[in-house]
Amino acid sequence: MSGSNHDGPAPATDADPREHLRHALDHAAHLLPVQGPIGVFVHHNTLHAFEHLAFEDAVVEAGRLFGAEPFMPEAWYRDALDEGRITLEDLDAALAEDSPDGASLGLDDSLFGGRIDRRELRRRVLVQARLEADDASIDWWLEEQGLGRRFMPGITLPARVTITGETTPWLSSALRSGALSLEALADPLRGVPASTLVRRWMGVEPSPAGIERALQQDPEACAVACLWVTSANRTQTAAHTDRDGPSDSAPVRLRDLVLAATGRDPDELVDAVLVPAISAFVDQGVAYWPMPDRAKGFHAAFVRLVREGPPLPVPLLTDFRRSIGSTPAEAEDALIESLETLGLSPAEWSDTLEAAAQALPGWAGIMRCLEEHPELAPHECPPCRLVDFLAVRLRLDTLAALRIAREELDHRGSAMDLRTRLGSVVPPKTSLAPSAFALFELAQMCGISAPALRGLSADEVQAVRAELAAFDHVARRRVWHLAYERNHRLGVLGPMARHRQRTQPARDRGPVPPIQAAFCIDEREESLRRHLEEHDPEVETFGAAGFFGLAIAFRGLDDGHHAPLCPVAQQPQHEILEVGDDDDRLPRYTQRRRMLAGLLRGSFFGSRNLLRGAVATFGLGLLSLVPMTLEVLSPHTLERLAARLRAMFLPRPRTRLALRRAAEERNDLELFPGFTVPEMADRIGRLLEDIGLVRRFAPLVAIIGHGSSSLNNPHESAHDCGACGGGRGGPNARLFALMANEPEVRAELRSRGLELPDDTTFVGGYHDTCNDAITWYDLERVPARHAESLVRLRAGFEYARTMDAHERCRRFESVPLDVEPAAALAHVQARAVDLAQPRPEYGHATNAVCVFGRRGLTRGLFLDRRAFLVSYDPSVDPEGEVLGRLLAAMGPVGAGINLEYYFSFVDNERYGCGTKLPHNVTALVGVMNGHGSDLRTGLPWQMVEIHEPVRLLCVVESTAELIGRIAERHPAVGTLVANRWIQLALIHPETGVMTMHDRGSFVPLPEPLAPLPEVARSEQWYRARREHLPIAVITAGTRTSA
Amino acid sequence: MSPTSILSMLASAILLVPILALLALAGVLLMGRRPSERTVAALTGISLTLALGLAVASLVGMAIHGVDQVVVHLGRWFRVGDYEFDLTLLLDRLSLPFVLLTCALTGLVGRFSASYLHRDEGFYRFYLLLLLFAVAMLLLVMAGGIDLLFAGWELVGITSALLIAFFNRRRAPVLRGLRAFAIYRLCDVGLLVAAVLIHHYAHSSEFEVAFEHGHWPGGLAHVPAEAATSVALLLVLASMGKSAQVPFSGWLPRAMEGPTPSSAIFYGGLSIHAGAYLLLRTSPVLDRAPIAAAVLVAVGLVTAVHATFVGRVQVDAKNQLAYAAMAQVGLVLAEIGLGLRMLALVHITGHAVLRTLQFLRAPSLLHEQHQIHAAAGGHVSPTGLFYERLLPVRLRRWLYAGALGHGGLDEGLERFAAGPLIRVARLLERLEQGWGARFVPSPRDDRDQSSVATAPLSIRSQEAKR
Repeated sequence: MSGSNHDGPAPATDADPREHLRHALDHAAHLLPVQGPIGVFVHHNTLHAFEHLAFEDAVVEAGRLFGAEPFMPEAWYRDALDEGRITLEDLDAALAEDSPDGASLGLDDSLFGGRIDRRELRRRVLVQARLEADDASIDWWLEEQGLGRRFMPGITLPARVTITGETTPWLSSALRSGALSLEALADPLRGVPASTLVRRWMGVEPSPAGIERALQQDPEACAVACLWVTSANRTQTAAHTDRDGPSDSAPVRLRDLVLAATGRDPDELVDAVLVPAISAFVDQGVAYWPMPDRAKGFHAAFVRLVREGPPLPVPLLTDFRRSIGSTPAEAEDALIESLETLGLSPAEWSDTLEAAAQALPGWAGIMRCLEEHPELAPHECPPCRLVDFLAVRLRLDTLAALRIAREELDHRGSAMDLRTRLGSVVPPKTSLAPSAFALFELAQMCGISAPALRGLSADEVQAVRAELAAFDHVARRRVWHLAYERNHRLGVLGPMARHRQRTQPARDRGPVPPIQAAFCIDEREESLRRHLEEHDPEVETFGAAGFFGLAIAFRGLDDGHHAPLCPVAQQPQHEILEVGDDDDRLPRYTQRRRMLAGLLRGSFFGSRNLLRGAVATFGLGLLSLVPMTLEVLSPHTLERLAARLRAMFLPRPRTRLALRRAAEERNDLELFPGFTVPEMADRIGRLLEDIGLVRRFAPLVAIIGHGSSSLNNPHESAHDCGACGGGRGGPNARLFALMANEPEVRAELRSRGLELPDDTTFVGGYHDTCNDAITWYDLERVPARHAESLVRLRAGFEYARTMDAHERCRRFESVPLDVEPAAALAHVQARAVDLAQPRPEYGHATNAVCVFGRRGLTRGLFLDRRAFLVSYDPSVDPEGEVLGRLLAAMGPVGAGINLEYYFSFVDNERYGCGTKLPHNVTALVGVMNGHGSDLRTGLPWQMVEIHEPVRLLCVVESTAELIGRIAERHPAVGTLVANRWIQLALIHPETGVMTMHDRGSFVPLPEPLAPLPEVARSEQWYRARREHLPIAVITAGTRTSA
Repeated sequence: MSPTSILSMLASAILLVPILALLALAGVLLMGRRPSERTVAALTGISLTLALGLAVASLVGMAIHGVDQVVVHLGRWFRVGDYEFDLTLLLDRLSLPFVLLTCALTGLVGRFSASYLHRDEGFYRFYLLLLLFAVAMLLLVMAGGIDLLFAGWELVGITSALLIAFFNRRRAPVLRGLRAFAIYRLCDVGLLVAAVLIHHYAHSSEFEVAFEHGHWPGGLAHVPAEAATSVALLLVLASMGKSAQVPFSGWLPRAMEGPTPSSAIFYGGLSIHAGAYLLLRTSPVLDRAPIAAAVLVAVGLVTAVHATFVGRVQVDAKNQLAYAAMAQVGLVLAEIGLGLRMLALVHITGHAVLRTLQFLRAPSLLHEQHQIHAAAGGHVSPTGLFYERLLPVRLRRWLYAGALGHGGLDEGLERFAAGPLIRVARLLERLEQGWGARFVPSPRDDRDQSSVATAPLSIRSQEAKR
């Protein structure tokens, strides 16, 4: 959504400072999170701004900029290796992919004087090295854990024998001949004298005779101690030569310098003032008093508040107030002045602004987001501008830094002086011990003894050190991650390829099915479809983006305003209203709802102010014990009670959708009211073509939208339908069925060559993925002749939703593994209305695969609710028109969901929003931690905790040639694939041969394919297991007719 | 057995049951065992339900036998000269409602937290603190003497601070927990000195001795009129900290750092009302000290007005609730000052329950706002235009800025109270070092020592982001 994608700073030649500032601001903005107000949660790639880079480089670059992790920690991957989630074969393949031979890079591949080659060294390092260590750990390991006198665990016997065998004669003769003085056994890096070291590690008096004795009693201790001393010495010597290595560039912000110099963080002073002000500015009607002068923008409103407010004893505000007189009134000028006060040249502006914006990226991000998309504000949008925010921020930053410098360093000069003064401070020297320890460890692994290490040339030592630097923790984790993904990839592609060999995906044969059902592509619908097919094998299912091609601004009977129900990339042009259907209960319904809202507002919310609060506490106080007890002890009972009360006092009137175009012109919301017949036919025809449903129509076709409802959950909307832009897709499904049933639309379609039999009826439905409720729309309009089919349809869905709930429950640790299906359904119903439940559902967690192809490819496969299923029939799309459309629409959406989960899982504090438990809904735009913090963007830990961070694996039923053409036509998709933000595999539509994309070419799967496990029903496969499950064949789900 | 002895046993059992549960949990955790989450939640739930049942039984028993109060002498802890520390429990018209509230609300919150904190790394710590809090609160409200009450009071304070700092991997919660702790300690001085004075004048810390003649809300304080004012003022000071009254109120909104259920039980339900309980319990002293009562009314009303103004500009669920609670507690204290004891008690009970529920529902803010807008048939017009229009624009802006800055209370305290104190302490430290150096040979790493000595003083109250 961020409009600009500037990569580098703007050219510094701009004459006009304002113009230059605009460029710098755009640059600063493009790294901000693009999450809008939380009420409508849209998943997007957290690192969208980096998509022009290859994935593996982007995560590292972004990690550096944001201080975030690019991959999981090494220990996590090693656990995966222990659990068999990664095999050594995966690791070798990943190494081969990641580290090409040194020869091709012009490097010498042999290290340690030819004792080991590079790749083998890397492999050993991955599997067993500790490497990352700080001084304290090294001390602990060497002194307390005995690593100074014993080989590390996992060092092979030959290596031990070599090291000990070489060291003993050498040490003995070197000491005797005087080639080695006793003092040479000192540890120069940790400052341990030789006498101490010998006494402690070899356990003898520090004399040549003592060492002779030690060599006989404990040669291992002598060999290891010598090796450490040698490693330390060689590291120290080598380090002298590489002093001029690349040092980290100086910090950009004055705050960093002051923090480093004084230990006090100016940001703490600034945030205490800025966070309340900015949240009050963007408030969407939570506060009783809106901020005055909001219409003038944040900078003007803030300045005015400080100038005309009471003289609060807040030092930073006092400083700010003093500075107002000398500050330009316009935010742009004020910002330029701040930048100039800091003594920054225009070339440095963009980096400075970027760093300032990143101090509170959530708030800066929401300002930018509402600046570019004011329509996203749920209620009222004050004029948000990033420049306003940064103008205030930068001035406060400077003042806070100066204040602390005055108090702690007695600095009386200007900000520019302060920067010069602190900027010249030499950074402390980094310790060499970690580097020496790594050398020590490698030497043990490779069987290099102390004399051998001493014998290496400086260049050889340098080569090892260079290799260690090149294969640092980021590089190692990259390899680990590739191995982790490879294991998953083969675990999906192998079974799919094998399944394809055994079945024919074409659906042209066999009798016409009695029921067809189209669902959203959402991976949470995979299980519902599977169970439906298991229950009724004659049913056919399809997957389409859950807005079903209908981009509408919808306002339901119970809604306060219109909501767009379509992907965020589209802007709805048509308005659809839900209106009463000649029901005389409607006026009473509306009136009572209004009364109820007034009551709720007056009592529950009113109790927050003084007098009404006092009245409310007397009146409601003890009474509220009843709902509270019920809510906590048995939320489900309360919900049923409330439902019964609603049915009694607030019966919902019959409604219909106003789908016909009511007027030719756009209304005052700039929307067309409803659709014309050709417009309807366009949309119906296109969707049916997309999913390949153009012949063999069943008498009953169900269209199922989805959404999710839960209580006490600020992230509720993140569980809704992504294709509806974080809305609920029920109205789209209902509308689609109504449109497709219109005789005029059928006639129009017929004239275009799409024969929809008169006998076929569409029916709309809605699946709540949280409580697994299925709602059907307009059933009274289904012709009587379909009564039997309708019963069959509903029975199928009843079974499917129960089993869906059952299958979901295996993931919830709080549900016993032996729960029965009916109890599972009751559990998810209670879960959805439980105030205490931070995990009402797991949402998209575990998503990993996206299949574009006929259902025959996946039908009868247990995909564990991890695969988006996009229906696509290559046999009716020879030119790839439809596929291109589908990939362009759903590739980025699927990747967005998948990558948001990836990043929120990999670094939940930085990319996600941390644990939900202290979250505090703020201004209706997002959540903070507790009393006041940055606006937290991304996903909370409770949503992602069971996720597996793998890039989306897209399996497309198409040919390499066609995909190549599509990539050219749709560069957005091409970039995602080429830069490896998604993984791509192809299944040939005719031959069924599976190939994987690998840097521009398609390579076959490794042979042979493993046999596929087979069970009769899904339940037999998932029952009593919580972990991620491999793919299996579900025989009941395969079509009986085929 | 006589009804009195049965009631005494019931009363002691109310306290004993949670104590046993706490000891059991602490023991198991100390042994390094990790019972299942389910077991821990069940232990908490069962013990508090049992305590609630016992409290209800006591209530019924007292009603049937027409007993106004039950006093249980558990024994004497120690005796030093004239002073004796008796362990006495008191169950009467004042403490029973608090006992019932404590058991019911902690029990409900315990149940709520079983799923809310499920899989959190601090799950066990939370339950340990919750049980400790239940015990502390029961001790506080059932104490038959001001010494035992003080013990409960301190335990409530420490659990409160530890739960604010629950997410101790981030800096902000720890700093904010520390702030609450500092304010508590400052105001606890009032309670401690008042306890000493009461003992000095009444020769006993027991409420039945110190405030004889009639049961609560009656009673006559054995404190001479000339001393009553200072004792009462000290008690008011003590209650101002726990009940977050101006000017010590700043810690309360900051206390929202803890997990939602602990915010609910402490700052919606129980801990926030502890100050009011203290004043109700010692109301005979207040009766003899009209000046202190007037001060109390003033503090309560100023707090109520302050919290109302500041609360009106809050844009997030939890801060709004914190200020709403502060305002109501201010009113309660004013009622106590005016002698409306029963009214205050009813007010507290209703407020505790309603506010706990609202805190538990705080994450539903979006949902509820949406419902209101929807039912009203569109965007609800912004609030705050009603009284506001009566004020001139400049004054409105002035008030708004003041409210957004929380009235500058915290910074005022820091600058005008904490600042001078720290400066004096630094000066004394320097003087001591100057003199000390003459007599005491300086240890080798002098600098380390001095930094240790100043550490508690130099702890500052700035708070980190996040």
